[in-house]
Amino acid sequence: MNLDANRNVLIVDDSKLMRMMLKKIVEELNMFDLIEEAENGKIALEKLDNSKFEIILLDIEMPIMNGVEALREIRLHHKAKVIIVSSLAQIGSTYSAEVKKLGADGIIDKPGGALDPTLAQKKGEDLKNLINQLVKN
Amino acid sequence: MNDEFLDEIWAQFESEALEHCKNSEDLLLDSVNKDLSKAEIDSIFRSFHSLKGLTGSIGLSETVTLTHLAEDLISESRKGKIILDDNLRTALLNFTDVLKAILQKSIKERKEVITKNFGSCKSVLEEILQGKPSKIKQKNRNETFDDSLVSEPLSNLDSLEEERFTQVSSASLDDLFQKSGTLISRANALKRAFEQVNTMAENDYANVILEKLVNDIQIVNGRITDLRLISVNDLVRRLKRAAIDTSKSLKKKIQFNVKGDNERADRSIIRALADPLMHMIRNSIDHGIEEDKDRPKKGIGKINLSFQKEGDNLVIKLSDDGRGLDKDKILKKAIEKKFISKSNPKELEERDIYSLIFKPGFSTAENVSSTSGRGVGMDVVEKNIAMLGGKIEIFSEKNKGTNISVLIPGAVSTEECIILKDLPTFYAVPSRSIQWVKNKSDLETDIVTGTEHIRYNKSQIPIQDLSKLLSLPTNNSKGFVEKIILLSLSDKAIAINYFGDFVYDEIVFDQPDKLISNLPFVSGTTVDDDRNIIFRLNVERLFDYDNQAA
Repeated sequence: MNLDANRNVLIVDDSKLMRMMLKKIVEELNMFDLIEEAENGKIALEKLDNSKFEIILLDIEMPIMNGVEALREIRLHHKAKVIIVSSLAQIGSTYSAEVKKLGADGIIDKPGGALDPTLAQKKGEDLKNLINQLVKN
Repeated sequence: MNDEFLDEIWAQFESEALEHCKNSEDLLLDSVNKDLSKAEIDSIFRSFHSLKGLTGSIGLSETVTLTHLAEDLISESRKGKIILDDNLRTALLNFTDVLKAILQKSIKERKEVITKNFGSCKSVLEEILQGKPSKIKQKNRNETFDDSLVSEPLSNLDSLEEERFTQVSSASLDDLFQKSGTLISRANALKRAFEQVNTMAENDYANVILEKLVNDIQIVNGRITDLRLISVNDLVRRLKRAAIDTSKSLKKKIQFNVKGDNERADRSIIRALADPLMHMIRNSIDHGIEEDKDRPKKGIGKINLSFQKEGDNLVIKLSDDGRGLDKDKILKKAIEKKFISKSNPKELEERDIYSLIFKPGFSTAENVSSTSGRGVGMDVVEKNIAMLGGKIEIFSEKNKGTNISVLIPGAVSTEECIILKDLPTFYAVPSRSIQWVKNKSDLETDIVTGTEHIRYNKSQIPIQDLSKLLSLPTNNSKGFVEKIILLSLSDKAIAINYFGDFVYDEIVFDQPDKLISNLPFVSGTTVDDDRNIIFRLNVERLFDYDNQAA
């Protein structure tokens, strides 16, 4: 199977809960063929070597290889659009500046608020809008 | 979001959040004895950061302010701006306790439930972060803190009991499924075989299948037993907390070393071990380890705890390098209390002398302190361990320390019981303590000082009314035949009466719930196939009670 022809998303986060939530949101977009997951930067890079991804959702704080190191590697070898999904990269933070410099295509706070459907909805929408925007470009 | 997805989300949340609590708690506890490496501090940071993310994602908006503070504190510590000292460690450990309580309740209710310690925990974290507490304030805070610490380890034990999820290796699950599949197909083959039995040869064939089926059932049973095994790791964490809290409240410096905390044991065993071990450790610190000033050469007090599997048995060793047990004092006290007579102390072997401290009533006001007192003595420790079919032994050397070793048989054994089904609440009496059961009409009885006695081994034994002992309404009016159950323990015998019938069964008992543990003569519970609760009659207690009455 030639995965290159498909539209794929890679979700990189050490928390399975977060991956589950992100996957749910991405699924609602109905525009991707394959949604892959990775627990840390190292596993993400391995997956990137094997398949092509259009969008990467990348957490920053992860064991083994964190998001900043992973982003640096990804930018050297891959064309995927990278969205940093982390509370560490709030606007104005040092992380925010660093990941922008390294070439992140978007930064967004962690989605969530499972307790509050409207909040969850809103946070989900923000991410969907960002993905839509990047895919169009 | 649909319900099924929400269920998954909450389950995943619970498992991840608790894992991060455990990880940070473990490392914080380690930091008592050693400086943490950079990687270890990073790991605490990652756990706190994840906890912030998790509580935020699930929408616990109050709680996230707390997790945020903890993350900030450890982040400052990572940068070297705040030192991870006793003060900060206590505050952060308290934070994990408060957080666990909030998580537990919130997960249950599926909404944010704030516990009463939330406010005080938060303000302590805020103060440390702002670095402003004055010396006097700091002292006060430690005092209020200690109060919460004394109660917290107990609630931690609840969480040990209420743990709803357990991690099971997928290999053993696969194996179990496969084996249970074999069981079904064998049972079907057996059914077919019996339907067609016409000849001797076919009968033999049916027997072969039957044998295989029994064999398979044994294998499956073994695998299921294996699934009940959990690591002693959680227990160890509680014990470390207890040790640290005790050493703090007694102002004795100690080093608490644990070996073999990855050993596994049946969950019911681990549950039952928590209280005795907690008590023994508190005892070691309280009575074993000397005041700091009295150990100029020995230095910091050392307490070692180890878990080791020996065959099917779990061996637990607890040692301290304290003052040791005072043989003469024990003997003197035992003679005072008439546990032994004056003439025989010389015949006692050393270990028999030490084991005197397990006698009920041995530990008296003299050694009851707020720390190790708690209304339980070493006799309770021995009893709890005996309930598991285990043994406890003590060796001690003056000024060198005390070693306690506990051996717990590995398999949860079933207990053969008779169940008294005509009492308002079912009671099970372990068969091994029953000498015989007879109809009273077949026995010769005598009236001695107004009470009916039966004759047994040349002595007269009073008949005790079981319903009265158990505070149950009497059931003698229902036309049942009165039976006498003769119970014996070592050389003593007790006769109780019972109106009704009984059945035999093999039972695996659970520890009694908190509510039930107030019932004096219940030492275990189980539920039968018809969902009736069955209490295990605490025969051992019955004999103690009889002693006291005599």
